[in-house]
Amino acid sequence: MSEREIRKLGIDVEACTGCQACSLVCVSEHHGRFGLEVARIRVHKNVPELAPPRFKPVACRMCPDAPCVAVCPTEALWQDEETGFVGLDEDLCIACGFCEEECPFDAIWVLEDLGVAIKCDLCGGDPVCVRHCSTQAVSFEQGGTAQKD
Amino acid sequence: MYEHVARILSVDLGTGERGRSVLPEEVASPYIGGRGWGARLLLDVLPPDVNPLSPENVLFFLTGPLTGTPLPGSGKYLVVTKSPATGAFCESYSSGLLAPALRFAGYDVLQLTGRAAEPSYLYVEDDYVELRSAEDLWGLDAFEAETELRDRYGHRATGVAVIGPAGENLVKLATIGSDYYRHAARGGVGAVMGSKNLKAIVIRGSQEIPVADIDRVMAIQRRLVEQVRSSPGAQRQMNYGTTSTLAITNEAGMLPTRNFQEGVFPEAWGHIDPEGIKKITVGRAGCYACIMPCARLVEVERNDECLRLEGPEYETLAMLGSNLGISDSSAVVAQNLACDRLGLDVISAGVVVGFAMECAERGLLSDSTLEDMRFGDADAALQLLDDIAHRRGLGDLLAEGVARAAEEIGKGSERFAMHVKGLEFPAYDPRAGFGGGLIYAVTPRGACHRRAWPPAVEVLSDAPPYEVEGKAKLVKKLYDERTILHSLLVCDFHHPAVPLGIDDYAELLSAVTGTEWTAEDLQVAADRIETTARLFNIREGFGREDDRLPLRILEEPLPEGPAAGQLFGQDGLDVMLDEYYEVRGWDRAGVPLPETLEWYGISTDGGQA
Repeated sequence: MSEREIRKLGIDVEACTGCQACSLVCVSEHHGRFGLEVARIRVHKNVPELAPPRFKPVACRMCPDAPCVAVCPTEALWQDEETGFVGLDEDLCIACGFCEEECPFDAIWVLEDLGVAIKCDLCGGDPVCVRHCSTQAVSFEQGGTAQKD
Repeated sequence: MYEHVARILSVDLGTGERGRSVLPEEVASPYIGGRGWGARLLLDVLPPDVNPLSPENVLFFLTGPLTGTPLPGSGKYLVVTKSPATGAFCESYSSGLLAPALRFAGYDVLQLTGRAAEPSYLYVEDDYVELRSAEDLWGLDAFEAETELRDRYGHRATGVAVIGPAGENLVKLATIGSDYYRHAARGGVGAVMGSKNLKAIVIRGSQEIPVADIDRVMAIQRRLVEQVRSSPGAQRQMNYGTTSTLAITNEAGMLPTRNFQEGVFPEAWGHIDPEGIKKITVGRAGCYACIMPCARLVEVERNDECLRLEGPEYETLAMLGSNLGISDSSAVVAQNLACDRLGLDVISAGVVVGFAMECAERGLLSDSTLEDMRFGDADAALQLLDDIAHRRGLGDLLAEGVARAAEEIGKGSERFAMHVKGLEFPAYDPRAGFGGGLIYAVTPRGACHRRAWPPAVEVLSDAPPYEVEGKAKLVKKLYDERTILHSLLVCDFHHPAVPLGIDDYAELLSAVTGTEWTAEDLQVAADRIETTARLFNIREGFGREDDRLPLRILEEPLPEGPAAGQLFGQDGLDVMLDEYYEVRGWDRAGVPLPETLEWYGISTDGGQA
């Protein structure tokens, strides 16, 4: 397998139906069980008002010059210069919560129980939420000269 | 090692006593889950002849072995109790985060008895169970109460079920709402919750949902997502949802119109039919983890106000639309929202309001403020809904359900009080498809369209709609398929739309349990479950004489449409009942035969034989 560029999740709020399948399969992928609480992609629902955007999946946007990386005191958070991917080294994370406070999109969360932050890691390049979203509200945006195996 | 058991959390709301118990595998597995567990547990746990609104009645919230997984339609829960509307077995289904949340908390079934000393709500977080004061929530509508609780306990993963004013006021049409727009609506389950002084239930948790093989479950789900993306049936369901049914029933002449006086409503076209609703649709919504999200989001202007709603579904369009002579979609949306907030069943509400309108037109109402009410008057309907929920004026009588209202009003109104056993008719006129008459007569909860959907064969396929012979066998097949789905417990829309066969569902159950199930195994369970539900009703004094239909259906032919002049009458119903009891292994009085109980291993003294 050759290298491929990693980008980020694309979100189509119009296509999202608020079903939270993305969150469910995300927890399954990362924690080996079914749940919603510790998902790395979370759906905000504007209910019962239903004014747009009605349903909005939120996951790491891989910001250029990511502010979470800038405030991380232990360098647990890092950003790939070439692809812009923001990664998290759980072994270095001390769950201080600076990243959670700094994130403009509310897309990184500290799990008090486990003593780590969690965020979207794009499942290593094949996001499970994209594969399981029946309305294709979540997509995998890849730029540049991506190559597959 | 997966164990096919039901983990039960029981709470006595009066004493505060809690207990954890397990329905063992030898009982839980033969009854699958959901509907099956509900039928078995109600028979075993509830003593005979209990007043449904007394503290002794038991209120079950049930899930099934598939609940909370990503498998199709697994975001449903079921409420089982003895109905205050009928005194019979009551099963009421709903969707919402409550379903997975119960399992996230480590339970499959919540069993509530007793009556709280003051307005309360039940808070469950894993092992932590507490009854908390709802003094500040009592009197709030269902939306206000849910928002308050979600602000306290979370929006994303917390299960919340609430009653509105209708439930608080013990209205027999009262629902239990969840996720705002979803309701366990039928049979007055909201009144049972109200009688227990219980405004709401809040559940959250962090336990594992038991599955034998999570990789197999995920692989199946992934395959089904692909199947849905390329399935015309699924795509149609996602585009129109249940609204498409109105075109089918209006064409077939079975669309309830003006309290079932007619079966066609030409004014519906372009307004409350699929195309009419498409014009006001602004988005889509799906239940928990659904692979075929079919709910619509609509937006209308009414009296200079912008109304937004998740819905309306077919039943609402018919029962609060055509059945009231109303073709204005904004009026239906307004009524739907009112019912959601008040906690009223849109189906039963449509019947009681339609009944009141017909009584007014016939001059049978003594209430002078309502004697000028006519079909088509949406403002009057909205006012009546509010009066029913708050038990004001005529609303207080209608709050008892249409059977009781007709008894009180008399003057021949019983003829057109559209109910079976005290549960109001849903939106299919049985005169335009005789199988519907059988289903309404025999379903344990009373007139019900959910246990089988005969239009699938009588309108959309080639079964003759106006014949009674052989109908029981056809209906039983549809019925048993639904029993399987409602026991697993999953939504029953994927089965016909995707489509998924019963053998597919056997595969899903096998993946979850690690035991290989076949369609035949599920069929045996379905038979066992239906006979068990029947046993409950027999014990409570119901029999063949209660499997009956209103005189309007038996004696008044529809005036227009394809079904004009068609009647099966009491003789036809008797033919269908005789055949039906026979294929179920019941005697001519509708009582399960001893050999049937033995064959399916059904115990009558608690637990599995």
